[in-house]
Amino acid sequence: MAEDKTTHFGYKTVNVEDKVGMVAGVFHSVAAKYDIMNDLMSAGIHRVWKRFTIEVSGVRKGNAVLDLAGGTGDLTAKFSRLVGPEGKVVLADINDSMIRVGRDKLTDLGVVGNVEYVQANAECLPFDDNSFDVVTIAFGLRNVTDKDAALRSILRVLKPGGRLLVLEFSHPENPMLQKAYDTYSFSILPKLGQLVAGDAESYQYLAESIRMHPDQETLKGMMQEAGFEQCDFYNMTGGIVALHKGTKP
Amino acid sequence: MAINSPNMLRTAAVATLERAINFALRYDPGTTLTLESLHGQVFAIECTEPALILFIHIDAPMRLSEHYDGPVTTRIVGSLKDFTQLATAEDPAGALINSDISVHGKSGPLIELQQIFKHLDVDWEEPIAEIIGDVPAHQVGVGIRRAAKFAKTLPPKLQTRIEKHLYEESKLLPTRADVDQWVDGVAKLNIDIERMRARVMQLRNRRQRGAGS
Repeated sequence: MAEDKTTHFGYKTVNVEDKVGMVAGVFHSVAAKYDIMNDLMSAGIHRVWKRFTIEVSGVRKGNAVLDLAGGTGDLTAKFSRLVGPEGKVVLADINDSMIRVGRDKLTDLGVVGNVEYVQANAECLPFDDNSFDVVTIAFGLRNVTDKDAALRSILRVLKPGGRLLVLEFSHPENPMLQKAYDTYSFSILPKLGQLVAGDAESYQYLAESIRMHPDQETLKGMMQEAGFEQCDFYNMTGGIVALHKGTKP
Repeated sequence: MAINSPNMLRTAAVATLERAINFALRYDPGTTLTLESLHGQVFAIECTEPALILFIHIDAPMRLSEHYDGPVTTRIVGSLKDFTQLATAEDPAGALINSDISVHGKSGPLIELQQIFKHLDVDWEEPIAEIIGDVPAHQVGVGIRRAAKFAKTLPPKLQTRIEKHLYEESKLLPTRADVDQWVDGVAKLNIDIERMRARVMQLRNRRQRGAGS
């Protein structure tokens, strides 16, 4: 009998085929309070991280952009304005609850016309080869079961010369900051999740999944391995978050 | 090794500045309309002291960014002091020529942009009315306009009033006429003393010659 393949779900080891459902459960649970929790958890700094990502993306009028794991649509709203009516933004997420919250929010804000919503798994993207000028994945890659497959899939849908940007929690450079950050993540964050979203477990998973995510240099190596060129990263807020960028040759 | 990490405080400050500019433009439709002639232009301001680069994307809404790798209409390089002088100059073309700022690309659109922003006239009544209603907002608006008008005329008016108080009421300072009269008197006294000194010298010489003969 073939042995079951395993992966990590936070600090737990789970079967590969179970992880997608478990991650989906986390995001179904937090979707409604996702934006408010992001503001509370990061003291609003996530907006600055996202703004920097948009600047580095170099998105222009007429571009086609894929906002992968787009969640509640923060990046999509900005990209929609930048690409203009002649461009296109696709907000893709594996989780239908997140897409629903994002679509309602963007429609209420009047962000319509050049935005499409697609429920998709990053490991096997349902788009033609060479379709997008820019692909972003913000706070999503660490939840993907097979990150290497996801990076290869992104490379396939990017146009030659197209740019991938991965915004993700990472590993602080300073040991003192790491200690303070650990205390915050494992002691305060789950309590905050319980208080605001009524769900401590999902935020415990968030903290654990960040620790299990590859560090800056490892992720850069994974991008190079997948076939990206000119790979590099910016550390933000002392390395708590990193923005990786790579170009399709 | 990470490439130069961004300064999050600066990024946040740029975002705040962008919001403030767009807020002001929302309530000055005239300027917004004039800016349409510059739509699509990108200006790069490269400050050497402190080191900072800011890209101004003329669009609706206007965008500011610290990173941009596309074509730029005009790139200006100088110190913060130079930029402040240029921004407030009555004659921007003259200020640009006489300053240490270096300009790369077209200078015409840059001067046009400076002129447009110089004549920014925000209708403060509208945002206030959204919060407290039309009638009270009008009263506040009238107050703001009066205060702004007063502030503009304040420096010359204030100078005249201080002068009047010091000369006429407290008598702490002499008037210009009194000072001129006093200065003339001192000058005359100086000349008289010089003449007297010459006369004394003449008398002394005559006396010495008389004693020698």
